[in-house]
Amino acid sequence: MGVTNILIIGLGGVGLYLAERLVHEGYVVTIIESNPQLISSANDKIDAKIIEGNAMELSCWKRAQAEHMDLLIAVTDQDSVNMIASIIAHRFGIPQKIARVRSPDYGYENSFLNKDDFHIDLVIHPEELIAKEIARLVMRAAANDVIDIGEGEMKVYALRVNADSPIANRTIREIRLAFSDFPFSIVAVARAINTIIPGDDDTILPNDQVFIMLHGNHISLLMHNMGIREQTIQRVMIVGGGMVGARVAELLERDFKIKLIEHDKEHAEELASSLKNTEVLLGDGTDVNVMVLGGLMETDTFIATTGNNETNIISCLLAKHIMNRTNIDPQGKEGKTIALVRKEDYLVLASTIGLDIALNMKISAANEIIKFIRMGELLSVAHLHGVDAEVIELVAAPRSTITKKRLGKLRSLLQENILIAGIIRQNECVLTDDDTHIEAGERTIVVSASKSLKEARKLFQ
Amino acid sequence: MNFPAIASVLGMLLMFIGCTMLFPLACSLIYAEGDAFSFIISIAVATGVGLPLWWSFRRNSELTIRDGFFIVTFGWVLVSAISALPFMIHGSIPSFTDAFFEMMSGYTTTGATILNDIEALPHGLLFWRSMTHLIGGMGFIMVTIIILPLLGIGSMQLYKAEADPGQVITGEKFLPRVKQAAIWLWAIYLGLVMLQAMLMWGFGMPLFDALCHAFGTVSTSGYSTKNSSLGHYDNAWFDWITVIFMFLGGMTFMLHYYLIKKDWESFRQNTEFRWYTGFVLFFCLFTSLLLLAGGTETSIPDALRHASFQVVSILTTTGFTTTDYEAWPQAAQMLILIVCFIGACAGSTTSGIKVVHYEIISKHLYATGKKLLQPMAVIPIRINGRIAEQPVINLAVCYFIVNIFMIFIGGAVMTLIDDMDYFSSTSAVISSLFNIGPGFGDIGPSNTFAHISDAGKWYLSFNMLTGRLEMFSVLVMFYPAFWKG
Repeated sequence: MGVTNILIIGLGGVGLYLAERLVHEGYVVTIIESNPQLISSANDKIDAKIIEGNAMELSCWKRAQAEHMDLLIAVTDQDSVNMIASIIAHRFGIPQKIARVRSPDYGYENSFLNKDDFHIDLVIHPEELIAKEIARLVMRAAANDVIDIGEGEMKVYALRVNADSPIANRTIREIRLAFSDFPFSIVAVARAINTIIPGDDDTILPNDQVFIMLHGNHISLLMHNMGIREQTIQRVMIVGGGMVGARVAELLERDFKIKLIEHDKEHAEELASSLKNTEVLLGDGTDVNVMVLGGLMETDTFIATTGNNETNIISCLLAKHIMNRTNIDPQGKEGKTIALVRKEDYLVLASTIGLDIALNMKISAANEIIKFIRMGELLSVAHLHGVDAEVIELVAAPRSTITKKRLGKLRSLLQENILIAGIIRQNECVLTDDDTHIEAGERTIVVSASKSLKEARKLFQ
Repeated sequence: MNFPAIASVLGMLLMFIGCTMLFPLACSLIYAEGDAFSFIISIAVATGVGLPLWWSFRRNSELTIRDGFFIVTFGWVLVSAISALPFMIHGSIPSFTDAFFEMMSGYTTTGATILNDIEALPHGLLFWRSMTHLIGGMGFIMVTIIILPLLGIGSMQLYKAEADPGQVITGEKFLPRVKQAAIWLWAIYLGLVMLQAMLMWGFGMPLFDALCHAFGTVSTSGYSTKNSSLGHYDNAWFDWITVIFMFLGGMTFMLHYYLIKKDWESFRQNTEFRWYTGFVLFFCLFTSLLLLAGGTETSIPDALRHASFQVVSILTTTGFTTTDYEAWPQAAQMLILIVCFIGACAGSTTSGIKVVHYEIISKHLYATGKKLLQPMAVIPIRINGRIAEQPVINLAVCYFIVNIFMIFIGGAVMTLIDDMDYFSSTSAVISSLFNIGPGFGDIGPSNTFAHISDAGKWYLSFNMLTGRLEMFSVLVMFYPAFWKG
């Protein structure tokens, strides 16, 4: 496929985040943006050509050398601009187009005007993406998160470590010895704002979020060993009935008991009429009384999706505190919280101060786009939430560095940022250890800090 | 500041300079004039210091804005110091002050020399002296951007801090990635240099001289291999070829790129180029007329040739001479002095106050006046087809004022520390700050900088660097805030 030149329209949250990531990964990025303030703040941050101007003026496209572009990403905050940009891009002969379209009336399979009418290859709807992600997380029982890898045999299980967890304050080596009845591998640890790809001598501390890779069949075993029980019925409380909150309620209301707290009276009435099976409550979702009256004690999952980052984080912390203090369950059942955090700087922190899951629309939209771009280059991609690491599938090329020695001897090359987690042999995914010797043509699952993706790829070339 | 990262980039720079010394070394070996050993020792020193520095800190690559300024300023000083070694080892310029001045003058593309007898130098050293122009013209920090694998944001900081060609104060980057831009700029630059060298060679100049003069022309620098500069040959072909290439070197380098890409639209939009051409034509013709009227020249072709050569040479801050303009009529000399203050186009290999600064300031002046008459008038200032925002205008005015301050303060300092008259002193500062080379009076075209005191030489070296890096990269070092936190 070979995408190298990328044209981004719109330097808002998603545009800037994407541009930064794409430039870092070595793509050549050109951006069209009309707001000079956004430009001047971005100019020092990214090594890209930024054109000041309106994307609806063709002169900007010419200045951007649109005819040499391989991919268009239209992510302004206006659907119409993004859709027309895609048509313009088509005329310039840009082969692939990605556009952010929020309105369900355009750009989707059943819409009046669908993707093909606008020549869009991928429609991005950040709110929809995040709502689906939240719904998916709620549907997974007590697990903090389970991420599929490859064709789904292998999973990554994300687990928050509390002080009395059997793996707290032990090194990776000790943990491996203690739980030797099934194979697993701790592939990443999120601690404060750092992401660690752990080596044998690293210690797991309370409050870490650890990502454990293992075979899908062993998840219940792992949960048993770690003292986590599956929960059955879910009661969900959502604070904030905005686009995301309402959509989550819509997605989940058939299978779960949902309470949605919205502070705006008119909006609450609208929601109440459109969401048939959801209990819509009018009130301030950050008020403890409202929460408790609304039935926080009986809630299993608390989701904060207001428009304010700080409100979401604080109310989740508050909810978590109340749920765990009053919800004294002999089986040690724990309430779970999910916060929508729009500022990525908070995100890494949010996952360590005790929030179970913090999600960011920008990042999930950007991940979706990057996944699309990489389809040709990588076999599959999974993103670990809230950490700066990615799970990728790489195929070892003949005579590539990685095939030269067994893994134990390649330690120095992998540095501290790359972990070869598993390989697929005879159609079965096996976890690697020091003695594994990767052979040419084998599909390998690699966990890599985002900044080292390039190096990781190099090892396999 | 991130000193390990700074050390690694500076180490890389030293290694690069060590490698470039292989060219003059080859030259010394061909001519066998006994200067080869001085290059061998210098290469050993440069790589011996550079390699371990780079190697031990190469994993650090995060550079802040401040690191960028620091690397650029100290990089230029360090490189000039190392480059002075061959002259000192060989003994042709025994004093470090003199050798450093000569090299700083070379790298900053000033072309002011302290050598009274240039022709006495062996060919290897002459080649090295001219080669500093080649390296300095495009900026060697830009080379590190090309060589170093991933500087990330750091590369942008360095590129900006060095005031390299290819940047225009209004408008956007011409290529998305700094590295890409750096490679293109170097390719265009080397292409022009080689083209000129071939032309001069074709018209009968010895290959060695043709190369050295080409190094000094496109970079708009001005070291010649002859005592009487290009006047030595007294050949109209050489003069006109040099005029054309000085003019090309003074053009915004982005325009060369647009020409190669046949992007006429972008070329047409560049108003600075029109002003530049206008300035050049006006001063050339006016000076020719004055020379004819004053009786200095008798034939029209000669008047045009000598006037154009001198005007373009000074306007593009090159500093080659074919005639002693101090023998010209006073009015013609005054024109040359005025032309000193014009430094060709922004984003070229020249220094000093650029045509675009004058364009912005004069349009701003016009708008200010018009607003007095019609207070409600909205008068956008258009430069190169775009509207110049207020910060751009402020920067242009500020840059102009700083330059004028530097000249008058500098002139005063020079008269205090040296025993030159005030006009020669001021002229010396103008000549170094704008990276021209020759000036008036004691440092006129028939004189050198040899007689200036050591303190004066250091002060002028400082001015050359400040001018080459367009003031602020050096001046920020004097802000206490730069060194804190």
